[in-house]
Amino acid sequence: MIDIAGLSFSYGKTRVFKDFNLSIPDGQVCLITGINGVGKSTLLRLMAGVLRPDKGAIRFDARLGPDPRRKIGFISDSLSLYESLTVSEAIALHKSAYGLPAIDDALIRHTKIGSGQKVRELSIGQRTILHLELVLSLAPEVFLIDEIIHSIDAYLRRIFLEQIVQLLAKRRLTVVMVNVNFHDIEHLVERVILLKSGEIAVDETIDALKAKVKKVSSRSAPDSLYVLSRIDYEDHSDFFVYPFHEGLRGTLGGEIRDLNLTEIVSAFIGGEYA
Amino acid sequence: MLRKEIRDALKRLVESLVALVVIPFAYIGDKLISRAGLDYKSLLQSGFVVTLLIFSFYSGATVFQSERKDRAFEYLFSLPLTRRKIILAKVLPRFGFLLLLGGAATLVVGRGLLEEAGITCLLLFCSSLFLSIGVFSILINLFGVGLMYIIYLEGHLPLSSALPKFGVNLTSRHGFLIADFISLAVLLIPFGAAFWLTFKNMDARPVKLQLRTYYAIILPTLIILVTLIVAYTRAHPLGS
Repeated sequence: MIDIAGLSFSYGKTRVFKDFNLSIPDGQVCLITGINGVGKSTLLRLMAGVLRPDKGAIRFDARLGPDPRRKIGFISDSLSLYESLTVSEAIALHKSAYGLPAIDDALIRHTKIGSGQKVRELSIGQRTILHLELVLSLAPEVFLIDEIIHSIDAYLRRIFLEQIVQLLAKRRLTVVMVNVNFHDIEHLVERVILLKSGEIAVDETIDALKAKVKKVSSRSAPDSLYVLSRIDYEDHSDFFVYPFHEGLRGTLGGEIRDLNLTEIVSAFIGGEYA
Repeated sequence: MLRKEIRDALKRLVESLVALVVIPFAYIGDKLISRAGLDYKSLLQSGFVVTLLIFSFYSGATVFQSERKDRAFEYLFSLPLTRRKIILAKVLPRFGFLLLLGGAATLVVGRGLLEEAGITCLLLFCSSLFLSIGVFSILINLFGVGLMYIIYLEGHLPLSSALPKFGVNLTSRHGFLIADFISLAVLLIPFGAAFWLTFKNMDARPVKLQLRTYYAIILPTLIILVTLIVAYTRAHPLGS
């Protein structure tokens, strides 16, 4: 369980969160999304303990121990590591800081990362895999992943996602992902949280969200429905509506289509920019 | 973590020891070209003292260099280490090498000169360390350390008139050391407190956004100390 209560946080004079509350139960795979700069990565960093709230608290399940960082695997978009160290030195540092007996470097070897290579010489994909290996070595209870997986090639992304799937199959891992592109993670996600101006604008299970957001293609805007965003064509417009319910199906003119997660989030985010 | 910091401190030590490499060249150059009759032993002694002073400053000023250069503050703060453990892991190896170098310099230079340099080294190490959190440039840090050194030296003036009233004999070696340490403590305690309070609450935000407490302690301290010294110097002009 991750329990965020009364959280306030600012970067200098720029306020990101004010009295923010969120609860994520154990074992849930949660996706946080929203427009750029809304505070998604900041929220992840606050959960990881690398940022400290100005006010409020973030509490974890007691089984994570007095210092939850021991059981939090955090892969940030900055991929922060000591870049002047070699891969083997970075692993040794990680091992000693966490008091780990050993770190399995199978992924590193598999992806042809040399142990004598400096971290700064690695590509973004290789650094992501190194991070993943370090994080997996903790046997994390909470896994926080920023949107870095979109910067890596298809093969490494597949390896990355396979590792998460394997972890989820082994135990009740809580996963919080920050993302704007979802085609390869949609099947993992259980809950979607959309942030807007430092607050939760949408908080739904993925099934509920898919049932409530639809695309209506027609010549005119549907009455009595809130349109998140629209795309205009010569002969018709696509209206992304929310909340939709099945009782409306017969009353709306035009074609009604289901949406995948990427389209749903694009519709919400498109509305923000409109 | 400790192993990395020992390696970092060792690198700084090796970089500082470059000053010693110059000595044989200076000696040979003197023999071949300038013929000023430089004595190799006194050259070596000066070299050791200079190296010690350089390392004292350099090891303190670069304590966060790897985090800044590698953009690794976020990684550091994600590790399950308390701020106290982090600071100990950073300071102890540097201080240990400083003591080691001081020991080696004592063997070469002798005890007398080192007693004088010892407090200066402590001041250089601590002041550059305490400034390192708020000052990103080594040059500006050096300027700040220079300013602190002047305040430390000038702080002796009011102390030298105040301490005898408390029965401290400033003509004795111990009395003078007491004045040295009090002057050092008056300067370093507030700077040390500012450093620790800032680091204790630090996170992965840009460091510049986290220096309010630091400046809130350091600036009034500097203003008070400089004002006191100026007021004392005006009230007791030299030669009066």
